[in-house]
Parts: sequence; structure tokens; C-alpha cells
Amino acid sequence: MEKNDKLCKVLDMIDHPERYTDEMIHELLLDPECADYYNAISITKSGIEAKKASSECDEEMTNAEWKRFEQKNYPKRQPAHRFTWHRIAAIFIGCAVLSALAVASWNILAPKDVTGIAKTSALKTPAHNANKLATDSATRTDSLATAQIRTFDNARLADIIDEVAKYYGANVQYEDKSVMELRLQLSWDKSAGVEGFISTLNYFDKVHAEYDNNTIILK
Amino acid sequence: MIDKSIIERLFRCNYSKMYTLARAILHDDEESKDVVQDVFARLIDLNMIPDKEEAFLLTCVRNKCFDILAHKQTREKVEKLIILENGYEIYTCFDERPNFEELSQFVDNSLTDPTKTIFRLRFAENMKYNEISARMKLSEKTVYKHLKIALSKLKLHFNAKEN
Repeated sequence: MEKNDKLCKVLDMIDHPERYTDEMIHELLLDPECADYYNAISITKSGIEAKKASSECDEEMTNAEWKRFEQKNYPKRQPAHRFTWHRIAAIFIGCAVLSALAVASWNILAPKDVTGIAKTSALKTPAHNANKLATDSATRTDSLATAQIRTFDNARLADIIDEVAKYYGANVQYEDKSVMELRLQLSWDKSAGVEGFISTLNYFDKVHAEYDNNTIILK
Repeated sequence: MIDKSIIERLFRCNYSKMYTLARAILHDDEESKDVVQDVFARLIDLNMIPDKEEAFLLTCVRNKCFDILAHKQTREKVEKLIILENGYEIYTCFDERPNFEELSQFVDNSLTDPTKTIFRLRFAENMKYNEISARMKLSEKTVYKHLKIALSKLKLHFNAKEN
């Protein structure tokens, strides 16, 4: 393919991708020069997008995105229990007032006893002060300070696994010994247990770990 | 679980850089925002505070973006001019990630008008040839010619950088 033809082909592919199957694209970009043309425009496009992103991402956008994140991951609890307690208190007070009125009415309208002493009864007050029925909202007392965090900085995976396994009393098995020499930087929360540690480890691309029958298995 | 105030601090301090990196890789506003949201959601589950916060978070963004791209068809990527697998290495080491400002400035510094304007209209504004032709009062053939010039110069520039 002539150089000019290659450029035309790449432009055609960029302008009309619907005319190309994945296989046709792969075949076209097998040619190093065509691949260079495509990569050059793609990288430049990345620069354009990054510049746009920088100018668009202001405090307003960050606030909006945090709000979206907060709503999804920290849903506000409905204060149902406070509402319920208030309703109960209101009903109780209402009943007490009605009872008092009923008793008062009875005393006024009912005949006096022989001794001439009117029957009276003290107005019963609610057993509980409604104010004491107020609830306190649960406050989260997560305290990172109490978490036992052990930080590894550029440590060999084998050394990390040895320490973790020893802590939890687990065995270790390497199905791929090459991962032993990987160097990682991570923080290990001892209170998260072996499963928590495994989960953290699997976040790294080059590591795949499992936990089975008290054995940490590295693949 | 990590305290919410810590997550919020990390979010506000690093959001802009994370979103910019995602946008540079995915070339899509909504997908990029979702990537950043997913990274922080995952951080809550991981229950760990990274020591080098910015580096860790940017790595997470990069990896998440690559996961997304792995599930896209090639044609889908070409439609958005997303870099293909053989070009991923430019993002693998975030410490040496390309200077996006420089990439964008190359267009301004190395291309002259009307090539520069036509290039921006096509690839920054995503305008079609007939729209550019009407805006610039040039034939579509001339628009195409200028895009070829721009692409040739870009290729020369990046090849020279690699050498």
C-alpha cells in the first residue's frame, strides 16, 4: 500500500467506522504505518479530551459528583423511629387528656357520696415524659485510630504473605512462584480478617489469591 | 469501613485529576464520571487507606478504564478514537503519563490555519465534513486534504518523540 493510500485508509476508517468490522480494523492496523497514524490521532484526541476535562471540572462539578456519590453510597436513614416515638407519645398524651376530662366530667356530674366528700382523683400524668422518648441518632464511631493497620512499602509479596499467614495461623501455597518476587505497596487492616486481606490483594492486577481450607493460595 | 469524612477528603482532593485521566483514556464524559465513582465505591469496600493517595487512585482509574475498554468492541473504540491495545503503554506508568497539555498544544503550535482550525473542528468539536465545509467555506475535498496534512504531521511528531 502506498503511503498516501495508508493515510487515506486510516482516515476512511476513522470517518466511517460503521463500514469496518473488528477483523478489518485489526487487519488494517497490522500495518505499522497505519497503526502509527491511528495512534497519533488517538493520543492527540486524548490530549484534547484531557484539556476539556480540566477546564470543565470545577468546584461545582466536584460538589455535584460528591453529592451523587454520597446519595448512592451513604443513603440517609429515614428517621422512622423518631417519628414512631413521637406518634406514640402524642397518642399517649391524647389518651391521658381524654381520661382526665372523662374523670373530671364524672366528678362534676356524678352524685356526691354520703360523707359529702366529692370523689376526686388526681389527674394521672403520663408515666413517661414524652421528652424522654426522644431518640438519639446513631453516630458512627468508626475510628480509624483503633484499626490495626500494618503498612507495607515496596515489600516482597512473599514476605507480606508470610507475615499475614503467621498472624492468622494460615498456610500458604504458591501455584505460581513468580508472584513471590512481586513488590507491593499496601495497607493491611488486621481486623478485616483473611478474607479482607485476600480481597485487598486481588485488587492488584498481577495477583490472584484465594483462601480455602485455612490456606492462602497464590496463583 | 473507612470513615466518610476521609473518603470525602480524598474525593475532593483528587477528583479533578482522576476524572481528567479517565476522560483522556475513555474519551467520554459520562463514562469517566462513573469510573471515578466506582473507584471510590471500591475504596470503601476495600477498607484501606493508601499511603500514596494520588498515585494509588490514579492507578485505580487507569485499571478501571482498561477493564472497560477490554469489554468494548474494536469498532466501538475506533468510533471514539480510543487508543487500541498496542498503544496502552503510554498509560501504564502513571508517573510518566503523557503531558496532556503538551499534546493539546502541539496542535496549536505546529499546525497553521486553516489546517489547525479544520483539525479542531473535526476532532475536538466532532463536526462532520459537510459541516466543516460549510463553516470554513471550503470544499469537502479541501477539508479532507487539510486533515491528511494534520495527520501526517502528527505521525511525524510522535515518531520523532519515540526515537
